Parts: sequence; C-alpha cells; structure tokens
Amino acid sequence: MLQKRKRERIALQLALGASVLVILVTLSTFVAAADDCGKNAELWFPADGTSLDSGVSVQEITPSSVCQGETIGITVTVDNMSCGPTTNSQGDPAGFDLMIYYDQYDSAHLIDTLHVPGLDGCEHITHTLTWSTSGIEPGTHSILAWADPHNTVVELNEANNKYTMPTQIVVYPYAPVIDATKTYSDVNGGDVKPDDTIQYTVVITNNGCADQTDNAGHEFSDALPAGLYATGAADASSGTAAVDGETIYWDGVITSGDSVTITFVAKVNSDAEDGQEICNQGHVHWDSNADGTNDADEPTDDPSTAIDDDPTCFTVRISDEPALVGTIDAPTLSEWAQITLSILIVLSFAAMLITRRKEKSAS
Amino acid sequence: MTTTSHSKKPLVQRTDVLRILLFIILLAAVAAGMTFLINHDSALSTFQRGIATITSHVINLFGGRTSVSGNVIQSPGSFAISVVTACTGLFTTGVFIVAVLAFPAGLLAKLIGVFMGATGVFLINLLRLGSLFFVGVHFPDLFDRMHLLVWQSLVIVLALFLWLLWAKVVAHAHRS
Repeated sequence: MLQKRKRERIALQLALGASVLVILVTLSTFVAAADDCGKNAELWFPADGTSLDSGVSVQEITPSSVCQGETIGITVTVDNMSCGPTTNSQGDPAGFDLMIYYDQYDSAHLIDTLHVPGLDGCEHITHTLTWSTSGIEPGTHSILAWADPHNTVVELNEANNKYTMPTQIVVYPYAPVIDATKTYSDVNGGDVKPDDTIQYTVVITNNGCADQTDNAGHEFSDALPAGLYATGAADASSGTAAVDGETIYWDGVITSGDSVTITFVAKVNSDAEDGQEICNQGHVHWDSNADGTNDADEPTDDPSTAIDDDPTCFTVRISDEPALVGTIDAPTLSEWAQITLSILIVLSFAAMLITRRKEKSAS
Repeated sequence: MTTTSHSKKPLVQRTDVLRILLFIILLAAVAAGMTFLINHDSALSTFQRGIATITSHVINLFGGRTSVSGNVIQSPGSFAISVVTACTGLFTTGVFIVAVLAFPAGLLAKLIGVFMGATGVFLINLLRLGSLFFVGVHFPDLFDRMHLLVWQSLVIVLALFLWLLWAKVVAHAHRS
C-alpha cells in the first residue's frame, strides 16, 4: 500500500517536471522568434488584403485586356510582415525601391519605380499607377513587381521580394481579329436523308480593335462539297451574300467588337449513300494588319466539337435502324468470355506441359 | 543372365500438377484484382484516358473526326464510347502474363512473353475499339453482334494463339 502511494507520487512529480519543461521550451521558442522578428524587416507581396488592415484586394490590374495604346491601372501592395522597421546593414532606418516591370526584370521592360522612404513593422504601402500600352507588342503580358531590388534593406527572408501579378493582360493590335463558327440544321428535322434541305449559319466576329473593312476580294467564301448542291438562297445580317455556282460568298464590313451572321441553304444529293459523311468549311479572308488588304485566312469552326477550326459535318442516314446514341462502354470480354478464356488457357497450359514432357521423354 | 527393369514415367508428373495449380491460383488472383479495379473504376482513370486518346488519334488517322473528353471518345454525332477499366484489355493481359510466368521457361523467354502479351493485347484492343467505334457510327445495327460475338471470340482466339506461339517457339528455345 505504502509502495503504491510512493509510486503514484513519483509519477506525479515526473509528469509535473515534463509539463514545466514543455512550457519552458515553448516560451523560449516564442521569445527567440519575437527577438528575431524585432530585428529585421520582412517585405512581401500579400495575395489578398485579409491579412492587412484594409481587407480589400491589394494586387490589381484593370482592365485586363486593352487595345494597343490604351492605359491600364495597376495596384501593387508591399507589406512589411515583420515587427522590425526597414533598416540597412548598419541598423539605420532605410528606404527601398519598388519597381514594376512587364514580362522581364530588365530596364527595357521597366514600367515604373517608386521610392519608399521606409516602412515600419506590420505596415504596408499600396502603390497605384497607370500604364500606357502604346509601343507594347500586342499579345499576352505579365506584370512583375520587385521590392528592394538593390538590397538596401536587411530582411528575414530576401527570397520573396519578386512577385508576378495573378492577372495577365492582353494587348490587342489596332487591327481586326476574326473568329468564325458554322453550324447546320436539317430543315425538316430528324436524320439527314437524301434530298433533305440543310441550312447553314455562319457567324463571323471581329474581336479586334479596328474594323474589318470591305476590301478587294471576298471577305468570306464557302465551296460546297460533293454530296451537296446550292439552292441559290443566301442571306446576311449585314453586307452582301451571294451564291455563284456551288460557292457562297460574302462581302462587307465588320466593325470592331461586332459580328455578322450569314445563312445559306443547300440540298443533299439524291444519290447520297447511307453513312456518307458530308463535311465543309468556309473561310474568312481578313485584314490582320489593318492595311486595307485581306492577308489572313480564318477557317470556320464547328462549335459542337472540342476541336478548334474543324469543318462542320453530318452523316446521311437512309436506314430506318435508329442510330446508336449516348455513351456506351464495350468491355473487352464479358464475364462468360473471361471464364471461357481462363478455361481454354488452363487447358492449353496443361497441353503444352504434357507435350514438353513427352518431348523430354522421347529424347 | 542379366535382368533389366523399365519403370515407365507417368505422362503428368507431380511438378506439372503443382505448376498447373499455381497457374490456377494466379489466375484467380488476376480475376480478383480485376473485380477490385472494376469496382474502383477511377483508380485507372489516367490509363483509361490514355487508351481513349490513343484510340481517338488512330480513328482520326483513318479519317474519323473524334474528340476525347476524359475517357469518352465522342463522334461528331451523338455516338460515344466510354473506355472503362473493363474495356482496357487488362484481364486478358493479366491472364497472358500469368500464363507466361507460370510456364517453365528461362528468364529471357518470360521477359519476351510479358512484352509480347502486353503489346499484343494492347494492339488487339486498340483495333477492337477503333473498329467498334466505326461500326457504332456507320452500322449501328451491327454493333452488338460485332462487340459480343465477333470481337470477344477474336480476342480469345488471338490471345490464345499468341500464348501458344510464345510457348511453342520462344519458351521452347529458352528452356529453364
């Protein structure tokens, strides 16, 4: 009884000692961290404002797409997440530069430089600037920020001073940018059969910053393939659509950001065969550098498929047998086929063993 | 006078029976593994997507216009084939490899056999999926017959033929 009490007392003392030890270690870690924190600054680019007083979005680019020459607003926030102010290697208060670039960290791509005279611990600075994109190559660009590029401030972590803004910007040239889709519908519905009438709808959109003008030559042409013939009917929401033989043409202007819809009708040949796939694709001839000449070609895209710029197709169906629709899976072997294969291969295995044994005995 | 006694060896020896038993146990393991994989179909999703992509490319090489979304091969119409685990030819490959491993042969012969089985069954299955897709789009009424009767029989016959060819030629030449 006495021994049991003694054992309990020792266990209690041990537990108490261990707890004190854990508390001491934890406290010393905190003290060390706080001490470290108080020494040096720690500049970084917060991804959002939740950790700052403002609580608002802190890294912003608006708008994210512009025509070449237009301006973009850029907001960059640098935060000193440490408790210590920005100081140099001698421990004296020091400022730092905040430099904004596009695509590359070099002087040719420098957008703006802001000198920050200093930043106390747990303080941040938000810099907003406007950037003119005149002279910037059309295309997609990244905005980069670099805090303290000359390493004047001593930091706890020097490796997180570069930042790529999460939004990329797109600079469009002062020229048209053309996209085109083409869909079909069987006028009487159901499967496409011989002699059916097919209505095609072509939508041409100008996503560029300049108008597509009515230049020399046709802006759109679509030659009907074998298996189809033109009926002469063609219409357009603007400009002029016409049919010449088995080719459909369109001429006209598409203003920047606008689109034109061309519709035309064709008939399926009487002798079209069951299962025959009929595909065709129109071509938009457009002016990629706004010099008044159509120098680029954009094939129409079938929007019902994931493939880009693919022709628009349908399959002629004569058989009354309903087409297979929906997604099916076709297992390599059914359960019974798996059993059959297993039995046959076991038998073959045994047969080959016996054959080999016979050959061995004979030799 | 001398007497000689001939003790005729049995046609099937104890080691052969053990080998066949081992083969059957391995076969059962393949079947169990396959059942598990079919019940956990997403486990092989990358493999399924890979086979769907390759099959789609092969079909497109021959003038098809398919696109792939995940493990589904889609025609421009409304027909599509979903490549699930059971469509990958994995069971047939497993059976083939197990038969190669259990059969008495040298290491090189077994390595050749495993390669033959994996490649051969993969190609047979690719041909199967491509032709079934073509039949599904153009001759939908023949699809079931083609899938259930023609291709299942063909897969069994071709896999057996391939294994027998290996056992007769390769394993025979590199006996253990």
